[in-house]
Amino acid sequence: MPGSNSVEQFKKAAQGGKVAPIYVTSGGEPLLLDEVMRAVRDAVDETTRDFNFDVFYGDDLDAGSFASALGALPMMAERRAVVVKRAESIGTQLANYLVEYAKNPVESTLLVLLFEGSSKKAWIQKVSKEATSINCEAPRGKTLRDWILKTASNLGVELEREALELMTEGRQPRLIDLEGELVKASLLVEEGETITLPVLQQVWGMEPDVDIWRFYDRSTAGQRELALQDILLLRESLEHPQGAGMFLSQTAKRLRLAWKEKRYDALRVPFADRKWSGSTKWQWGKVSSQLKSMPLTQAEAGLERLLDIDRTRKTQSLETVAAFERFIHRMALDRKGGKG
Amino acid sequence: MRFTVTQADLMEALGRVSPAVPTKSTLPILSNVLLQLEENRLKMVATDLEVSVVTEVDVQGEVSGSVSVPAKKIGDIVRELDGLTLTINVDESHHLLIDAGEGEYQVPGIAAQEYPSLPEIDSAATLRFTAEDLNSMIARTSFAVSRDELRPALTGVFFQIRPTEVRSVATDGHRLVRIIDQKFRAEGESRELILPVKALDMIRRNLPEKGDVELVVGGNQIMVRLEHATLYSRLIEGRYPHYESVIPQENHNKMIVNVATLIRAVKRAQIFANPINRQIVFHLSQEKVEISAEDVELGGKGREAVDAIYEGEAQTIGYNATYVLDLLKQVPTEDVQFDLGGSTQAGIVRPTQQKEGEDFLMLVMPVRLS
Repeated sequence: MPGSNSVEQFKKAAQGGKVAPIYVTSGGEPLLLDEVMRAVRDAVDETTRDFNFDVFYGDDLDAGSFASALGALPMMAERRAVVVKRAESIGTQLANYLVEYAKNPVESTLLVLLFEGSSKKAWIQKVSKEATSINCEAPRGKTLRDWILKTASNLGVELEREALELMTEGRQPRLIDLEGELVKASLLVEEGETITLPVLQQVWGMEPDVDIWRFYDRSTAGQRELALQDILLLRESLEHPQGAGMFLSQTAKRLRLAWKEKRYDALRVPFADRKWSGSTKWQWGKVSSQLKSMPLTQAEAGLERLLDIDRTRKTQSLETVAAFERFIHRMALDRKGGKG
Repeated sequence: MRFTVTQADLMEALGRVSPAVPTKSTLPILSNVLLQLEENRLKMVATDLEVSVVTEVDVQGEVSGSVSVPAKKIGDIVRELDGLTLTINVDESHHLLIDAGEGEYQVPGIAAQEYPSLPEIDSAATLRFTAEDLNSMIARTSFAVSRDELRPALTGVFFQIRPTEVRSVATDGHRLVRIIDQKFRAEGESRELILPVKALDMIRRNLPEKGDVELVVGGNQIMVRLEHATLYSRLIEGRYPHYESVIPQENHNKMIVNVATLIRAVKRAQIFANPINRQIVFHLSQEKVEISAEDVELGGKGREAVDAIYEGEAQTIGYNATYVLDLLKQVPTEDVQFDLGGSTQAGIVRPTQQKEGEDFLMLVMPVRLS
């Protein structure tokens, strides 16, 4: 692969007119893909842009039109640009055409393939060898926090530390969603003020009365009825994918903490008020090791396995198990985009 | 509702409105055609909410009323009742019953009230074209309209109405057509319209051979009164690109060649072109143009020389065969003139002789030689 760019590097190159003939994106963060798209559009002379800027969709591509766009020379301009969204869906015939094109691209055409999904197909690897990569992976950790703070700053507000933590917890968020939440939260405070945790919870539709830690305390204390009420309240919050992600994350943290402190007894795990069997301990060990690396889907699976064991051995009250099953099922649905 | 009509009259009327019925729609009612009977006049309406067509047919009316019925179903059955007189009755359940002598057919309908109402044209201005000019203008421009729904402005023909001329322009970004008709006269302010290609196609189908046609423009709608139908169309909103900026002014290499001969040569060459990019190559020299194509993948190739008058530097230019053929088919004269720049610049194609008061120009972009 000739090189690799960050989105910012690509934007600068596009502004300066110093672009490679072909770019491919890696990572499918929608907001970053949009930024790339805008940069490509801006790289084409405004007065002739209608003639020199083509956008296609990989899953709805007319071969003739696409080939014409690729082979065309710029109309009264230095450069033309062709963008293919959802490029991973390009069919075999055009994929082969693209592979050949990549070996000898039109110098005056800027071709950008935006991949939203998997880019492991053989033809993509071949084209990528001839192309410059643009990293559109969603930022994580400190980079993500910096991005959130910068976005908040651009909106004229600040962000409280707890609110920032809440936004970065849970499953990997989409920047486009986070930006939307920040915009909504910024409307609830005056310019220059700070978005606090309650403000963010309000935006996410989370009831302030719902306290995840209280839920755990009630569960571990064997207060099943109260814990069940908390679950019902939490379910409202879980309608929001970010809320579900956050809850799962905190569940995982809590369980991991219990494992670290070797308090994997009935007092510290939320759904066990009975003696651990050897098999349950073994399962718990597996879950905990998975939780350490935070693969949340595996954590879900692990939790479900534990519940299965509880159910078959009848070591747990059916009421609590049923509540947990509903909760986990709900989270699984949320993770699939709220279907069902 | 009850009336009697000949199959031929009903079929003709259905044929006028049915092109407006969308082939796919999220609104099932749009698959229907609206029938409204008032005394001895049956009014028929079809719409896709962008383009609506209204026509009327003489019938022997007995009981006035209205209903909407599936356009395809009624079209299919009426077509098969050739030469018969049909008695049509609509019951209270909106079933349309066709009595055709030996046969009886029932088509399920929907209450007319559920059918979309026709657009209203307000603060209207009227433009008048001769049917012949409008027909010719639509025919020569609509082929170059873009099918790209991401660029809606390019999916229609752009009309620039001036007091002493009308310009019609179409482009898909790879080719462009511009017709300036200086015989046209219009009262009132200059205006610019983008008409959807579907509406233009339907106007053209229903144009009379002679006489004038009125286009009534109001708001974002246009109404066209045609010989046997009235058409309503939404105008495409948005800014049409500044097309003049892409028309080269100084293409000094000129080629004149016989249109029919060139079309035949291009058609033969394109058989050997790459099936995806349809690329053919013009090799230009003083007394001829050689047209060649090669499909590297499958191994076939073709080359043919055509007599031409060429003034300019010898050069090689690549084109999409489909685009070249589309342009050549619009040339009304025996010979065609190409005004060419270099192999990377837009080529201008015109008839060797313009019609009086008209400037007809087409532009085609070359492609990179592979």
